[in-house]
Amino acid sequence: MQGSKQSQALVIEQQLIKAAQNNPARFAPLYEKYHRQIFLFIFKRVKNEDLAGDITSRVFLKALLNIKKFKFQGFPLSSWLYRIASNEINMYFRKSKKTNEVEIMESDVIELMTEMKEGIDVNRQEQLIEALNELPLEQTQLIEYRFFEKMSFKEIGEITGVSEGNAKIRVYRVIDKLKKILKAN
Amino acid sequence: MRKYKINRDKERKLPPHAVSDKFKDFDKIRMQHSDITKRPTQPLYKNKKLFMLLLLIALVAWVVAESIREAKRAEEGKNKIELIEKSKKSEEK
Repeated sequence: MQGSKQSQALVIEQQLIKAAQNNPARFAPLYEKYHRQIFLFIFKRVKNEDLAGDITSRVFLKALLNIKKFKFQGFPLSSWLYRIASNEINMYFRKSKKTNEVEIMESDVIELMTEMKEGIDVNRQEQLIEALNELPLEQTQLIEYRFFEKMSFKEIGEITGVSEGNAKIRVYRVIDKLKKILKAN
Repeated sequence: MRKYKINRDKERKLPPHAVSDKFKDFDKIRMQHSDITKRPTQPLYKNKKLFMLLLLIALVAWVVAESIREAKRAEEGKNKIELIEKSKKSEEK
């Protein structure tokens, strides 16, 4: 039942995308649908409302400029928007040379540690955060998408440009790496 | 550089809808989009300054190309004369 609802939503979304590709003014419903989602995604990283608003505008402008190139492959448009937003956030921090401080909810850390079959005491949590800070951006982003943004492997695959199976393998590779760092500590 | 920090508060404080709506302005994005994508209203040949500049660049390019061609032609002529002289000398011998 839920599956058919989801596929129906995707069909509607595909129609909206097609309409926007033919006429940029028809992008409005997609903008309405995803604006807050993308704004919050950016806000969690930049922690400044004005800056988040500014970057969100840039994300949607880029999306509108490139909507004709977008090929619908059965994923919601949000995956593509997240990819643009991630690039914009990374570009902002690279240009401003500021440290990108990302707050993670304790419950999300516990979920990640449960997945890793690790103890969840506060000490261990802090060690995990230290381990995360040691990893390169491409790897921590995968953990972020999966455990902090609660994305499916399908969506992660769409954002990172790999298949669903490959996205799963990559996420679990990062988890293994985190386990090794924790063990070494 | 990215640094992670644990938030131990019960709930993450996220801006309310009113805040995100403050930044929601599709018309502005549409305007920026059309500014970027619209074709220039004035055709190139009607802009005198730009037209003269392009003409000048084309003229300079033509002069340079001609002088290179001329130099090549002179070089070829020189080579031909040398060849004729060489063959004359060998005939005399």
